[in-house]
Amino acid sequence: MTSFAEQQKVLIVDDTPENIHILMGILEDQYDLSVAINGEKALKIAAMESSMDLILLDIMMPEMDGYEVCAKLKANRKTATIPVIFVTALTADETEAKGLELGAVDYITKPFNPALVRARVKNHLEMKNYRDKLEEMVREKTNELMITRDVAIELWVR
Amino acid sequence: LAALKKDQDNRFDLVFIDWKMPGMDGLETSRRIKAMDGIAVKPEIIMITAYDLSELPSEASEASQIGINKHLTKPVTESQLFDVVMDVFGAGGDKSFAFSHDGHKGLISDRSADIKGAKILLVEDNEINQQVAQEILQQMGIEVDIAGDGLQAVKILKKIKYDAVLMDVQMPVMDGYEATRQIRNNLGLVNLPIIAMTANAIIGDRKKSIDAGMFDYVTKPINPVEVLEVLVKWIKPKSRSTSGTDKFNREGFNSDKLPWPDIPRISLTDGMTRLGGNRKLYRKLLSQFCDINIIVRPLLINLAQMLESGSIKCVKQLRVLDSHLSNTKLEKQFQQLRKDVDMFDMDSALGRLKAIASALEISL
Repeated sequence: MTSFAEQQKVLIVDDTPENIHILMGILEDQYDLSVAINGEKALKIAAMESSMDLILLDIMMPEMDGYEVCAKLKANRKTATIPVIFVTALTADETEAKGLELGAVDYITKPFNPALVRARVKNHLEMKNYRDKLEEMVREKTNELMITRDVAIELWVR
Repeated sequence: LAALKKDQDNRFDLVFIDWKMPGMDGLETSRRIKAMDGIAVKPEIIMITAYDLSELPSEASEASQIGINKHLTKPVTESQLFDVVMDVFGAGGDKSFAFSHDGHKGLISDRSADIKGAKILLVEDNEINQQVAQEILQQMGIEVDIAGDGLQAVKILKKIKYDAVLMDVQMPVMDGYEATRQIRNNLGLVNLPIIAMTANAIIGDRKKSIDAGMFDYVTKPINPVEVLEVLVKWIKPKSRSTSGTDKFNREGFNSDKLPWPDIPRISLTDGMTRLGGNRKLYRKLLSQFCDINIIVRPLLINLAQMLESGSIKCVKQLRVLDSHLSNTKLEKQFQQLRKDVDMFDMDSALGRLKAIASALEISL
């Protein structure tokens, strides 16, 4: 009916509804949003067939924290390539380093600055787009090469 | 069972019994009803089951020994219900009452076959109303395109042919009256049935609609039975490729050739005196079933998928459902569901949704 299908999909993972509301307010016009209030649900949603283009992941959560969720996302082939942006109130460089080591692409700090959130989300979604396109091109080229090789082998065998 | 005993003065002619129930199951209940003393006219019984009875011959024969020859398979559809009820009461000898009603307002299930495959342009600016109307129409087998305002509608009609147009009257950009005038005058589509959708029976709106060149109107919020009747009235039945069973049903009903099941008969005079009331009951029953199966069920199924995937579209979907579930027995459960969604606890919401669905006997 409308152009929902064209929007990129962003998953917000946070245990506090207020934070989700704020992020929704910032992002819902531009993206197709999903939410999860714990790591378990987040992993389930991320592994679903119509996968996410980006995940905003809160670090401080009860039970499974953001680091653990990120590690699990990266360990699963289906979800490993989804870019993760950590959401945190902690600003120490140390925690930032830890997150980046785990494979996160960026950080957003609370309290949220709407312009900054929008810009970071947009940048990483664009990068993901490029990467997806590149991968597609590599796949195509590889296919072409394989076909060329097969033809070459066949000719040589004859 | 207790309900039957209590209400002997105000007796039931027909009982719908669920096959699988805790305590006393449907078969046992039916056996006792049929054996019950002090009930002058035994009610007809229709068994509701989730199984295909033709695959369960022993149960089926047990049921027919008790005198149950009719069953409905879940999920119950409007037309199935209608057909079965017609079968049971039709056995009373006079089948004409339902068919001759006002000449043209006969069988709903029969009529919807006439407009199956018709192409309709829905002109409506409100997304929620778009969704509801679209679902109702699609369930009737109608192909629906949507225009968001009058101007879009005019543009679309320039290019594409439709069997009818359902037109909201109040819309931004161009309202329904102006759009209709342009369609009639500028596009020259004088015979295209344009049907106004007017809010809550405002008589002025109706007069204005007819003056603008619309053929008829339905009231909003739209009611499936009303829409169906209006569409049937204005869309010329084409020789559309209806399936074999459709044809069989129609000819069967109209030509009296359908073999009527041999079930205990209701006395003709007794039946006749009760017909008026029954017909109202049919209509009420029918529109309830329409509401649940045609509108609510698809909404619930969509909502379940949204909750499963955590999509925030569920917030909007809840608003659509609100008008159908508020003021019903399920309102409390529904409010809880909304609270869960407010807290984004989709899994808990999904649990409640499943409870609501099973209370409505809808399988998700």
